[in-house]
Amino acid sequence: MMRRRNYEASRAPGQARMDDFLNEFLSETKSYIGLDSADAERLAIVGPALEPHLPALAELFYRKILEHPNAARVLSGPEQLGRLKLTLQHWARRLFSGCYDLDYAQDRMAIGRRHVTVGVPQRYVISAMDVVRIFLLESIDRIEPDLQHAAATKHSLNKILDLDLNLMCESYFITSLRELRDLNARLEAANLELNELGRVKDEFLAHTSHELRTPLNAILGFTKLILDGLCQDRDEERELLRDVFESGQHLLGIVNDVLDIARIEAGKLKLTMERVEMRPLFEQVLAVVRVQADAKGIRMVDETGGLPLPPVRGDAHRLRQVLINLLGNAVKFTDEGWVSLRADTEAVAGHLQVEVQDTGIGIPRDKQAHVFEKFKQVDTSFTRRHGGSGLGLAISRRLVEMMGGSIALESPGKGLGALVRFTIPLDAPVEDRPHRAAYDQLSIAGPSHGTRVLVVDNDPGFRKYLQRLLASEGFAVVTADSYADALDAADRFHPAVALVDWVLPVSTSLAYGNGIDLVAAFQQRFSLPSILVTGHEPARAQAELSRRNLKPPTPILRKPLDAETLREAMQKVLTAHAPLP
Amino acid sequence: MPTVLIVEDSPSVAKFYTLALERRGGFACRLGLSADEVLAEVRSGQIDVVLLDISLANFTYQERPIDGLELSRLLKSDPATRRVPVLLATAHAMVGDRERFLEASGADEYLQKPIYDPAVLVEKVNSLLKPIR
Repeated sequence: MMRRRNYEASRAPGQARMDDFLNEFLSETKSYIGLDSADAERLAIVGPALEPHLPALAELFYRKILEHPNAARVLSGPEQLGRLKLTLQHWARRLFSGCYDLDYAQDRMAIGRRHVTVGVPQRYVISAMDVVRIFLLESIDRIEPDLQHAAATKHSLNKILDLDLNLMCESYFITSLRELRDLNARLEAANLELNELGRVKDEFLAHTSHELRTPLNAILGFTKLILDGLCQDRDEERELLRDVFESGQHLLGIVNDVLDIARIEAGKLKLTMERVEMRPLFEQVLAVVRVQADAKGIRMVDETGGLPLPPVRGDAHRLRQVLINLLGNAVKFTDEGWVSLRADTEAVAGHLQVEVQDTGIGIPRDKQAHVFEKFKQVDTSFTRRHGGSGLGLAISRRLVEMMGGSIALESPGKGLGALVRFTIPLDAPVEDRPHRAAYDQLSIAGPSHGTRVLVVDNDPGFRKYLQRLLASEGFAVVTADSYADALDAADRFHPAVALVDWVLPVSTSLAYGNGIDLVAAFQQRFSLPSILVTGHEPARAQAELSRRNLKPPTPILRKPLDAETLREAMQKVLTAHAPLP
Repeated sequence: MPTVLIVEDSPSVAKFYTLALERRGGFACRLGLSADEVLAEVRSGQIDVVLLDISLANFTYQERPIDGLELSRLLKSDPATRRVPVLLATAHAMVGDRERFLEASGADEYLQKPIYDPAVLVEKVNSLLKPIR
């Protein structure tokens, strides 16, 4: 029986349409080929006698199919091949079942689709079918002494094999069609997105042009006043030059922001990840921001003073930029009261949490969701009171996420102050990792030469299931049950792909995060592609993943997970990441 | 001595206008720091030209934000102030902005930032003064 996949079952109208199509195709092809009940009877009679020959047939078929490198890569491992050969015998048995109805056609289509998925070209399947044909024709000669009878049976066999070949080709055609349709839909969606992006970029360009012209006005204007000799004395000249200098610095800040966001967008921003001591970093940043705060008469409160601050893992220069952005923003949007800097090592395991709170103008609730988006300022109207590139928060978010942390904003509403909170992973010295010894005892399951897969799941049952499944498919498998373990394993095992569960245990270990954090970390540290596995709502996982903007996108598989779905996803990821020839 | 009312939210740019107009053009300058202040100044009859920025941070009128375009419309719709020339000065300088802004504001002239040559600024203000005298 054909095993229907879930998503097909849920698309009843599509399936019904497909059935109608198949019924029509079947009756048309049967009449064209001339396949009738006499053929069916003849084949049903000869079937049992052919049974002992079927194992040899399966051998021949797969010898032919495995000549294709794609097939050889995916269909490896004796266990898997053994299963496939049994399936082929089943297929051959049905040739002689005498019943060539809708269910028969569906079965043939499904087999064809499986070959498409694996990436075996049509011509390989056609020649493999030819091998089958020759073998079966010869077998009939051997078991049927009556020459006339043998000739008639062979004629019937040719007809049914023609029908099968037609169905096989049709499944290739339909799959290509479906892929083209999917591709087209994706292109259309991408096109819409590009249009929207174009509009946002126009707006951004107009805005940036405005922000660049304002400091330029002061720079050029004051310089011209001095050059024209319109100043009363040297003191006034110096005063204007100070304005020129400050406007120049302001301009530089905007230019840097624009370049940063362009670099981040192009994926060209490289971080130098290292152990960073937070105390000196805080001191440096506070020294800068205090000057701005003092000038506005705002108190700058450092609440991190007495805290022991463990070192974090990040890019010191970029961390400084994030802190300056957040604290600078807080001062900029606060007219009276205070701005406070806090740190906490307990709030999020394995991370340092930093908070910047102010008593400033706050952010209306309906705008809060957008503040971290690039090109989006809370207020883009002509009456807005705060200049700037409008990119500070967008840049900060991307930098924090690239360093493996997260960032969020809270504001009770307009006029009520704001709080920005971000995390950054602590620097965990390797020798302190408690999981290390455990990892040393882990063994690789499956053939050691197989494509390497790392399975990360804290459910031992599911981990075991995936391990066994993948090993039987010819992969070399290592498993991990936590974030820290997984990073360590990836570092030493160099897998080609990782299967990552979304929910990972809260750990006492210093390195900690959920599956999506892990997928991001794999991508950034090892360029390791992942497949996310989850028992939760895939749409939520999708939203989380899209926010990280990982390229290429990470596929999501839903638990429970069957072998075929897994195989398809693995194949897709591995093909996408295979080095070009 | 003609008097120019400067309405500009960037303090350094306002300072440049003041210095340029006073020293190069011999004008008197005043600063309009709120919408009400601007309306009152112009109504007083002592202002000869309004130099008006379009983006005005912190300006409100009847408890809602107001920009230079709307402020200019207010001046141009009031018989007591409509004869006072308004010169828009703005850093919004994309194609089509000039026509769009003049139309939306009813202002008399438009200058694109950066405006950095005192002579150009003075000449523009003078050109607005002459026909009225």
